[in-house]
Amino acid sequence: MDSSFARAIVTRRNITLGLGAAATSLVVGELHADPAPDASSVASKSLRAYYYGGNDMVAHVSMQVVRSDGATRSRELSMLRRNVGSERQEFLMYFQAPADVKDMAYLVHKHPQRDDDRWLYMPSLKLVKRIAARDKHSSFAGSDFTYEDSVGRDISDESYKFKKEATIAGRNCVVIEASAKEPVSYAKRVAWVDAERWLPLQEEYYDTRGELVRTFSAVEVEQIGGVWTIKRSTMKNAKSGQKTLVQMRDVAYNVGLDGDLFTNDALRAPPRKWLR
Amino acid sequence: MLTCSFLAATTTPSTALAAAYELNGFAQASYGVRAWPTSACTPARVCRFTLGEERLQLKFQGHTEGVVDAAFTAITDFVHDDVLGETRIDPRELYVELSRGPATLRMGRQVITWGTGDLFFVNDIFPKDWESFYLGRPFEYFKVASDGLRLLLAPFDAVLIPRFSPDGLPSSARFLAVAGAQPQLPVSGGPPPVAFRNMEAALRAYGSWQGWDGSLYLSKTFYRAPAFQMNTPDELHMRYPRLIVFGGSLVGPLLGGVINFETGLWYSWSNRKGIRGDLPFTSVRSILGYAHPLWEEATLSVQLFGETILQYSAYRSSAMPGQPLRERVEPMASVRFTQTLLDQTLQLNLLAVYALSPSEGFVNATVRYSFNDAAWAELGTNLFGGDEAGSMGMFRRDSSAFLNVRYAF
Repeated sequence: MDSSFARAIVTRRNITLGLGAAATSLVVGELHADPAPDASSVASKSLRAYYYGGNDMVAHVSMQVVRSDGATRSRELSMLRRNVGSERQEFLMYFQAPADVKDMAYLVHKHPQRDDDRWLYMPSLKLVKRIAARDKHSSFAGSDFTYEDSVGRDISDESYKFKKEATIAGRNCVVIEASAKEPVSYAKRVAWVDAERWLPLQEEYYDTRGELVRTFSAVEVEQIGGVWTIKRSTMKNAKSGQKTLVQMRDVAYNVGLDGDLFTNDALRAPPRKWLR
Repeated sequence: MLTCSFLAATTTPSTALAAAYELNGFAQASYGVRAWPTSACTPARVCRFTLGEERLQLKFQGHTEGVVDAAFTAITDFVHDDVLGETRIDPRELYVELSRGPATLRMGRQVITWGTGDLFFVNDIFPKDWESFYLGRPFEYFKVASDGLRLLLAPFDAVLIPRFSPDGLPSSARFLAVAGAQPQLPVSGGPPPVAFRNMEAALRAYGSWQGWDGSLYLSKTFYRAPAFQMNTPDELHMRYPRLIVFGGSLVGPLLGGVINFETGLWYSWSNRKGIRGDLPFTSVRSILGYAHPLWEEATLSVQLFGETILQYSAYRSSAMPGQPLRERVEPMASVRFTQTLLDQTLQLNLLAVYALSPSEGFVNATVRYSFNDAAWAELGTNLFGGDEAGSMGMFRRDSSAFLNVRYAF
């Protein structure tokens, strides 16, 4: 297929959901369908659609953290991801800007049956530091996303129940409620999952007192290489008023990433060929 | 063409990786004052300030891709030092890197970090700048670059260092403890000259299994703190004794935290018979550490460190008159607490180190606030206490509070 023709197809398939922070009211109606979908199955499909697309992926990620007073901070990074078998995954994130985090790198080996292995490379000290698995609820690079948000959680971390069916910006969604088995950064998560593409279009995170903590919104969804991808999203902190905007560009799937790229050596010597 | 690439790199950070060259850096000011007044400060000896410097660091990097990928890094500090009354250029790192397939060869001045310890070192035999750390400069200045050759070819990491670099030890110009302990006799000798037999060589073999990272180390090097001996009745001779280090380390997950264990034999080659009281004795050094998150953005880590002198009876019998005797086993412990707040713009750090024999300790506390992506300020203190005969307690009068301010670009 001619590549320009393929691009044109992709462009036509672009869907701007327009769901930003102020757009949560775009839930325009509830659907009624029987029988109720299995919530665990929906959660599983959603995790796979969001975090497991393709055999591997490379992308450039721009993050902009906007404080409630309007002040902004930014993070630019390359992200490499590889699926190993059906469940295991490996992630390498390589920071390019701003200057104080430049060349910092973060490696995750995600395991379905045990705690993930995490390493952080600090370039000023030429030091690879092991990070505790329990630290996954900390903020990812000072943004409103957590480390867990950036690489996904295990299906066994939560218990699920079906809430309802609804639409967001014309997309039919299954709304599920996920309860964290070990409430840390949140106790409950309510997710609006696209009933066809299985991507989470909106998520609300609540604390143990039932108060809204954060809201995730998919802003732009695009099919890239046959994989539906959230290209733009926001995470808004309901308590501080701060929000983080994430934009992915130069996304490519099934490029043939090798396992050697996801080692301590790659933390110290970035794989320039794959950096976006 | 190069100019275009260069401009692209400096004006649009998101495209920096596409460019062949990048220029970054920072401007930084560092000031430190002695924590409490001392009678040692006189009109003839101004010592209220321990640190007063402004520096500009330029980091120039470039790379090309081809049959062999080539890259270079040049990091240079331009320093105005108010305490020493001098301006100097400090070439911190300058190396060329060639990569092909899994092999990377790095040549030149470069920082190398091995091992698992936090301020305790067993197999990281590379130089450190203790003076910088005690003065309160940002922690990256604690690591000193080595002039050498490094080959990375998994699972091996090999280093050759033709030119010896000593540790940066507290100097008499800034530390009252050292100023008061200056030898009254002239000192001869110095670092080992550049020669084949003096070349340092270090090899690490490493691997991972089920989330555990293990390494074995073998190094032919020198103690980086000098030893002194009486050359003649009226002259001291300074040397850096030869050292062989053999050890291993293991890091892995445990109960949601991270445990690390490291041990190594420090074989004092110049004193292998154990009869020279003026040289270090062979010892075994070990570290056991555990770090665990306490709550969101907070981590507590604990370390135990011990050094055991192997030929202790020989050590005792060869000790020089008046020399304070060390214990056979000298344990130390450290606790570090870190917490980030305000979306990681505020970083709190508290490190406490305690040694049993002699009884002494050290506390390093810092608070760093990032105003934005480019600027941060750090306020901190280094407090020493305990037995003045110890390596930490001797700096009691040199306890200080410090401020670092940086603007990065």
